[in-house]
Amino acid sequence: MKKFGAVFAVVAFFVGLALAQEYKVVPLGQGEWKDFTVGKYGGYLVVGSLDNPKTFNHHIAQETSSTDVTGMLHAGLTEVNPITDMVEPGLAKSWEISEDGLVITFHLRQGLQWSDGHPFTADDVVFTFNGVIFNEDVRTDYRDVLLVEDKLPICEKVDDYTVRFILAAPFRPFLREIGGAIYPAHKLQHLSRVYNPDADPEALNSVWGVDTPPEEIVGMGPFKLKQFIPDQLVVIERNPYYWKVDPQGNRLPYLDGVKYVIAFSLDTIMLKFRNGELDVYAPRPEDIATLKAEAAQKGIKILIDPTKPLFGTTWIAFNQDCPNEKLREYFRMVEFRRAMSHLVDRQTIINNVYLGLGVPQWSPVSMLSPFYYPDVPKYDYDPEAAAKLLDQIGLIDRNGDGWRDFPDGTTFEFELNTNAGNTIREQTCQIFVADCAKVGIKVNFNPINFNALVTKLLGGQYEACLLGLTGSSEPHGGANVERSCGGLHFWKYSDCEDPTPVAKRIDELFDLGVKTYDFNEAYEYYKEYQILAAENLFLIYTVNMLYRYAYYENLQNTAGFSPLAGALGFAEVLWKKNPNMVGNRIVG
Amino acid sequence: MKKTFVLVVLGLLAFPAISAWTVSDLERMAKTDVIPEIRLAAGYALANYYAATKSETDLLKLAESGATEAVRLAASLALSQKWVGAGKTRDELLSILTEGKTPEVRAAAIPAFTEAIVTDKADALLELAKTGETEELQYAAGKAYLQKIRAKLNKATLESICGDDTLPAGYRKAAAEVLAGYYLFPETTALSKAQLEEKALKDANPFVRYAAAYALVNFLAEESADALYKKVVSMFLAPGVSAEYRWAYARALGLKWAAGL
Repeated sequence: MKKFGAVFAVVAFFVGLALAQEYKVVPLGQGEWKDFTVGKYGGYLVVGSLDNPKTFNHHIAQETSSTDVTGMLHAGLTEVNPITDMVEPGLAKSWEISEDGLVITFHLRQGLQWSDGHPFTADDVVFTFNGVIFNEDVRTDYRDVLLVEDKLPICEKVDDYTVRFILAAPFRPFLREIGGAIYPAHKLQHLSRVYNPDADPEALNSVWGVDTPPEEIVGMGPFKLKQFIPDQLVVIERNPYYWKVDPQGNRLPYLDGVKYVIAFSLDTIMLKFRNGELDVYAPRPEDIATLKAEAAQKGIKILIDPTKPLFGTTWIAFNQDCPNEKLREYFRMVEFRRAMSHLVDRQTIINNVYLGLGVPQWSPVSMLSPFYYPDVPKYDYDPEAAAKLLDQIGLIDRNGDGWRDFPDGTTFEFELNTNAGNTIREQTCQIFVADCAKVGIKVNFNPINFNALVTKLLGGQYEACLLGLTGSSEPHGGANVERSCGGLHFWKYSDCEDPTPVAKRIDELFDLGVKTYDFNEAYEYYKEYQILAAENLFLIYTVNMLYRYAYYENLQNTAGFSPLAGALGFAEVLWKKNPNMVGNRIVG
Repeated sequence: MKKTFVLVVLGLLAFPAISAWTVSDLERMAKTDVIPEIRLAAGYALANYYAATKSETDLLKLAESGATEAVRLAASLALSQKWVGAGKTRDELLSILTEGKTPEVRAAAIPAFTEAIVTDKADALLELAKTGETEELQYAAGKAYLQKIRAKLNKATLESICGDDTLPAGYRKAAAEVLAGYYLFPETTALSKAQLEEKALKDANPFVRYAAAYALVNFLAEESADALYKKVVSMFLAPGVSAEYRWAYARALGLKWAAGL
């Protein structure tokens, strides 16, 4: 018996060793990770959040108050290196692409476990795509970015650790886009009508809502949900089964978890950071002087990168399906939108709102993207040109009260929303409103709560709004926004049923841009798209901010903070010199 | 007297500055060192250690009746860490800010109180900054107010607040600390270390001197503990050195000593 036990132990050891080799090693201290060090365990990263999450269902979530949390709970077949922006193996350790570019075969890491200990296999991948993402019952925007010629890939299980995707055509960004969250079949499969015809069609939309017991939410990410106290706190804790290790074989993450402190104003979040209650903070330009003054005394590091404007866009959208028919008619006129762009004083916004820490933005493609085209048409600040255009389209002051009117004599006015508490957006709106007034356009500025604004936007109930979208190096990442039937095509949902010629061409360009694996060819398609977007101003881009970040020096492995990823993007490798500190305060 | 002064200073300069004092060393210096700025530096250095090792009750006692200002300062800073995010109500904090037995006790409530009031309307915060019954309350309200309207601030506005003798000291002190940031940013208009030293030493207005000193700490924090110590000692009893300038060096030295604990 004793002998059997010894043999078993030896076998188990070698099996364990073999399985551990399936884990991904983050090469801290080498290559692009050279400025990173092997850390020590302990402590929570504490961050601020402007609102409650609306859901813990990652594939349904459409707001950062949710995805900042859910993004930490899951992993995908591939992942993007937060330093190099290159696609790397994730849950799939390798893949092959067929010669015709249509078949991509992924080989999964073996021996991995979900956060509840259940084994991870190809069944989970096939369920995620066939049962959730490709399932029309599920209201996920992720589906849009995987369309190729309006067709979704076929996802097939080859064996327990091999999955194959068959594409309708070559799909250049596939390896980047396929990295979406993999969901656990053992927890959710019964909710999918693809697997269970008796399931409620709404089940996968409503599952994992904010009142879900944390242990029910299972993922492959570095963390798992521990606690949600509405209006106060979200806590995620280390996933004991996470499949990444450091070069010494220590399982990541080093942190015990992440805490999201919910505070509904930027003022409160900033003060909490200054008081040492948060470890990190993304300072607005107007915050920098205050933080710089006390940086040394409090142990705050402030990172400003003048060479790196942020990914993402900030824009003014006019709802071309606005419930108000009179406004709708004008919002659909490109001359009106060009006039509005002429009223965005980008340089004043940069100087006064961004304190010099910004650049004008003209394109939907992020400036850091290799696909960015800088020479798009620009309708820069020019109130005279704006006034001429407004005259041309018949918006003139018919009664001498200083405001331009509809042809029926009523005042031409619209409501402009943005998210209350975001001082940069509020100030940008105020400058725009004042400039509109100078040419007789009446704008009723009404900042509202972020989640309420998102609801209004997605429900097509707004008139105009100033908001932002995240971005990435891959223009196709914006497909859910730019495509006529995209889930975030919020300036004109009716394009889906009745697309304009420009909308059709953009749809074509999005198809062409992904069909070629040739970068130069793809570049030309995205260049045309950017020109069309700039000419037609579906979204009027304003200013792109330079990257800034602030963190307390107790936090380690911060060398990679950039527009590609901040603290949350590096959370799996962050560690604390003193795990008992939050900010600069001893807490335990 | 002069001979004694020279002997004392030379003696202190000859004593090697150690960047890694023990807690006992720092406590001794905070209580008994002959140079006020050394005591102050030791007090700053002890704050985090006190936060980690002493109870709220003990810290409150020390902040009320610690033997020296430096000891009370260490306790105050530690107590403020305990009170942030501790669930004290606004009224409780206000009561401490107005009725706390010592300036150090009152100051301990400042960070938590600013958080409690920062979402108030700007007008109300300004009113409190101008009329608060204690300097600490003026400062707390001023800090919240100035953060709230930070997008509208500039160097000139803040220097004007600092120079306005009709405004209370607490509010002007809060303004000075924000002004310090405008001496450092944006880069195109930032002051050099030499310019900050000049201002901290010689500006006619004590709050502007304080602003410059506050900004100067960010430069001094890059220097060695040894260099800072020698400077502090050399300034002892030296004429013509402003209190604000001395404070900057004490503050930076405290940072170095805290890092060595």
